[in-house]
Amino acid sequence: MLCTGVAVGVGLFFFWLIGDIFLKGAPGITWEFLWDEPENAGRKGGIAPVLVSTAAILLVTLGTAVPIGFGTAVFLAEFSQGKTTLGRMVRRALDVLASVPSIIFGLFGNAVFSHWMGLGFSILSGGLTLACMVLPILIRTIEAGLRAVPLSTRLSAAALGLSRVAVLRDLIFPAAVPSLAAGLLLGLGRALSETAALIFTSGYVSRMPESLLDSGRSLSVHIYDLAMNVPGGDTHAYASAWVLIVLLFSINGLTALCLDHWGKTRMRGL
Amino acid sequence: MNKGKPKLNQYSIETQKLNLFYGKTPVLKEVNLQIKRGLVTSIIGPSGSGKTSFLTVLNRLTDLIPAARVDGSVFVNGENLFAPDVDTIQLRRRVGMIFQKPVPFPFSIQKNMVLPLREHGMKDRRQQAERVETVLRDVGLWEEVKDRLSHSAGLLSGGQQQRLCIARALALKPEILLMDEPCSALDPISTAAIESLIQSLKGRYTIVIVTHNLAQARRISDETAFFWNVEGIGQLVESAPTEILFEAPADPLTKAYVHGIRG
Repeated sequence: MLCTGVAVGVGLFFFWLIGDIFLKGAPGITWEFLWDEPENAGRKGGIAPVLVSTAAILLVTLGTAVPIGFGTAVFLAEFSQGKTTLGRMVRRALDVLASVPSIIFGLFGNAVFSHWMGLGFSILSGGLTLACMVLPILIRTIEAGLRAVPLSTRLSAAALGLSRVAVLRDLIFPAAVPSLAAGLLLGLGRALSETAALIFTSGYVSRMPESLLDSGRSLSVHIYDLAMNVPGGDTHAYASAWVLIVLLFSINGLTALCLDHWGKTRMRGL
Repeated sequence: MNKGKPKLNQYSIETQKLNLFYGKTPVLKEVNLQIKRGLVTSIIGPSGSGKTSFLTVLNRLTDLIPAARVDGSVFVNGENLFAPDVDTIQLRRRVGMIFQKPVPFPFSIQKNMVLPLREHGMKDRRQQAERVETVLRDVGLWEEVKDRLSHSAGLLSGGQQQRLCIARALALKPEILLMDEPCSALDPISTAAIESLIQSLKGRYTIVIVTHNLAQARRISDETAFFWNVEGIGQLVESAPTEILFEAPADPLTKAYVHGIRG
């Protein structure tokens, strides 16, 4: 009884939160809002540069995190067999990294990418910082996918005299694609909603960025700024939150859809 | 029983004092077995007597099991299997293996057949197509699948999948075919199809087949080796021409087993 009550409470809370954002944000959503530059510190105008910066940051994040994540996952799943010291060390490190608060990543990114590497407050710094942040989840998800390839498949491939490379390329990588997609989208969701790590790295300049070395304001930072620092920015904060939530929902939906689709084709394939 | 025409003293496989360990646990002890070229040799014995483990030594699949260790010697066509210069990829092309459960790869029938060929250097598509058709005919699958080579191999029935796996191994022109209870997951009709396939391959390939089914061993094999589990360790008790092993075994244990008294 109590449990049901709590469950209903949680559900209601979720709908309240989402409903509030949708109701208060929806009136602000117009084509102009999506296409225009912000004016008067974001109280007027739109969020076009913010969307561009957000997309650019995410591209940098994925561009770095995917190859590194995939390589590490292949190493962990295929070459370290969970026994080597290096493999154990990497896994331990990833588990710790996964639970490090994002503000720490922000400070790390600020120190390493912005200052030490001299990238300043830029989309590049922000993207690289987010890449560090999403790597643990990405690697662990891909590793799980790689490990899910049954031993019987590996043995019968080996019994046909297939080389290690061929087994990886033709049997193991394709099998890991769904988990790669899942890890990617999970990471993307986390990156998209990240604020703390970005304030210190990609900054909050709301102009249209001209290169990856320009500072760029992500959606979440924009919301933070409008809500906290700009009196009278509420309406546009709500509208931006609306856009962010819709993006996150689409990503989640897409993940579910992909997994469902791949799950079915794999079943048929075996 | 059809004996084929083995050359005298020509053994495809010869093991001498073969021991196998998984970690510190001995699995096989001092197996001395000679397997004649071009014949079908059955390996029978109760569960845990090391039959499957024995097979996996013969194509060095044991290399993939981290803690597996082999000592003693194994000769395949007179060559030492564990010599340092043995190329396991080439070895496994020459010594094919079929598993208990058919393992089609999760893509089309065509790609299942072509992938190993391509890996072993056959790049020409026409050659590939010819080879694929030949072996699919050999296993009696061609008529059933020729119009749907692009379909997923997972859509075939269990018996068809197993014949596909056999064809996939045969396409590499192996000299030896190791079969680990290839019919145990199949219905009687598919089993009959596989058995007659084995009969038709006799002479062209050396076949070693592990089976729990004594009647099957009797039906299809020329030679039979009987393994027994002695205090958890697999040992070879006796090997002989199949008729002799079943009718007049030398060892009382064999006699008890083939008559269903023990095992």
